Amino acid sequence: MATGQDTDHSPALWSRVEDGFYVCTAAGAFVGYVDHRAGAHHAFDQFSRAVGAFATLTDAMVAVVGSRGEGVTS
Amino acid sequence: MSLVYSSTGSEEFDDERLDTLLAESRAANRENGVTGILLYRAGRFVQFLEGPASRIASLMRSIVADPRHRNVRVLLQGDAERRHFPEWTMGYKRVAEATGPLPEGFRSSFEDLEGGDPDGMLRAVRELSFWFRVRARDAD
Ligand SMILES: Cc1cc2nc3c(=O)[nH]c(=O)nc-3n(C[C@H](O)[C@H](O)[C@H](O)COP(=O)(O)O)c2cc1C
Repeated sequence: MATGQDTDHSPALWSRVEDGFYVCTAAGAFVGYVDHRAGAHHAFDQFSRAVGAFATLTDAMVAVVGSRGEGVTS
Repeated sequence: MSLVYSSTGSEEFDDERLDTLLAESRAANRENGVTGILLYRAGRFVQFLEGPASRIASLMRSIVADPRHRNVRVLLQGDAERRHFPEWTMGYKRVAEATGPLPEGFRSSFEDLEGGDPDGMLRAVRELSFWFRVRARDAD
């Protein structure tokens, strides 16, 4: 069951590729990304599925990191 | 094999120059079984190449000798189990140079790419490849 809990404890690292586009990785693996468009920060998980649109980058980052470990079929 | 390099354009590459370069590259790559992507940002190129090792090696000899750019620097090179860009004979995107300040605690992919730390380089290469896929999908 998806709990929204952080199941992987390696630290999340954020990088900017261009203005408004931020990629999150942990131990080299993708966690997700944030894309700023039309005035909102859109958060996406590791499968590029939308997890929400937020007014602030910080809120979008929380949503991306919160998507970790969800929907993983391993 | 796969290879990633960066270089500095010898002159400003306007759309027409880039179109010419891309048209000739795509035709040759299709012939040679080479795939990859080319990024252009702030006068610099980053190119991802993948294909048979002998083809990549001979292509790199041509590329290094090409007067349209200089300071060709191989960032990563290795065996590839599978292609990351099988559908692109040479995907291309221009990347806007960031103008805003880097958010606190953030790394810059393009700085890490040239930063010399192997882990950072590898991560930056993955970030750029990921960014390209998202932008290519957006454009569909
Ligand atoms: C930034 C850059 C990227 C290039 N990418 C390719 C490529 O993907 N494939 C290709 O065949 N030529 C590419 N070229 C062109 C080669 O440098 C060269 O002109 C071409 O392979 C013909 O080489 P030759 O005259 O030695 O046969 C590129 C040139 C530049 C400046």
